Amino acid sequence: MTRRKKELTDDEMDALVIADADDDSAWGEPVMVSPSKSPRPAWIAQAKHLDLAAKFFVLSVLHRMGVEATVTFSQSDNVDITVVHQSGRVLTVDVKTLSGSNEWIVAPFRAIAHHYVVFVWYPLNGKPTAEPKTYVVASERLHRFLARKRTRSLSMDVLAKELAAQDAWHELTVAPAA
Amino acid sequence: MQEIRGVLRRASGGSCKSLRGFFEEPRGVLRRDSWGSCKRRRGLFEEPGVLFRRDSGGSCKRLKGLVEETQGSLFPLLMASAREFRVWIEVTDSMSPTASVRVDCRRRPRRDQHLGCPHPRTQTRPRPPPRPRHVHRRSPPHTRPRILRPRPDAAGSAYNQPHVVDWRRFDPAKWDIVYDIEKLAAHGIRHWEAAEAMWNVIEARPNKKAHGPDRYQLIALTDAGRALKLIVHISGTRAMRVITGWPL
Repeated sequence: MTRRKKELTDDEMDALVIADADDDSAWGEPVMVSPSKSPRPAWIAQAKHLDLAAKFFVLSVLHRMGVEATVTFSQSDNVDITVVHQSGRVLTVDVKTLSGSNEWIVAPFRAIAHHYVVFVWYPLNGKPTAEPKTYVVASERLHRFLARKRTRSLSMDVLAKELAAQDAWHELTVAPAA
Repeated sequence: MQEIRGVLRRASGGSCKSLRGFFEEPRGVLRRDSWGSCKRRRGLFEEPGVLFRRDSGGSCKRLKGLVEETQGSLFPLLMASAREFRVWIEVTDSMSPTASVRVDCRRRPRRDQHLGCPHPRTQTRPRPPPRPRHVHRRSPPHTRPRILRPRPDAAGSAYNQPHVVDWRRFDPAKWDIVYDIEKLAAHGIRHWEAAEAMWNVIEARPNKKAHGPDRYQLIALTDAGRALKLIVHISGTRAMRVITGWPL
């Protein structure tokens, strides 16, 4: 009697293939694909520009508050903006852009001292000139909050209610007393 | 019963022998050709309105692999009657390229009893109204036959064959690409970055393992020059799912 081999589900196959990602012998000969000449969908450019708009919105608010802030274009360490206070204290800011839904799909971020996460939420079909809603929270505090909640997505309403993060710009401007 | 105007043709899986002895007649009635002996022809005769008849000497297996096609549409059932018993030929999967028929000749009907066939002889199928000349002969989209999609769960079937991608002609604009935002975000990749990379130069490598059919590894650059390694799954005709990715 032959035993039928158990068929893997798509998720199981995905997991096995992901495990193969660093195994060079698991992959065949490479085929080079030339760049596409077709026009890109509009949403790609919109999402990209929205990310930039969010960064510069945070930057503009910080400058209006008289804070020395600079956009970083490096890709490392989730740092989008650096803030330098007169005392020499340096803060780093990670800007997360939300469009449409105000749910943030929890992604790994740096949770260290002097590192802040700013969520910029653009409601769907809002006017381009309309001001987005912002939520400022220290990364360590957010990390503790997520560890307690054990959720895969985080609503900005919850963040505003439980961490009082909405428009909490003072976290980035007020230097500690000591 | 509706007169069969179509052609009895063999499904791709049928053997040549199974069709020998049958041919189409303009009036739609099947008869046995002359290859058989006289004995074999005995009992087979044409009757208008009836698909075909056969006597008790014929083998049911010879009908295996027949698919009826009538004016472009497939009927799932053929019926044949004989003096002594009735033969049902049921196409088990008429849409499958490897359609097979199931023949049941053991039932003995009475004259006043029909066998529950969807198309009994007593039941006449209403004819569709004549098509106006100005109407295009093709059916509107909602009445067209369903297009078969590959079934991932049908192991061992013809649909389960790996999808071969001609990467040299790959154009992401013609593909339906789905991005797993959650898994990409878990590795610090935004979905629009993965989409950007799709439009740039790609190095594609297929997974060689048995557990990874239709899975490919793509290495590509975003517009900003960020190198990404993406794992994709080709799940159908020009349908792609970006499973996950890592920055390099």
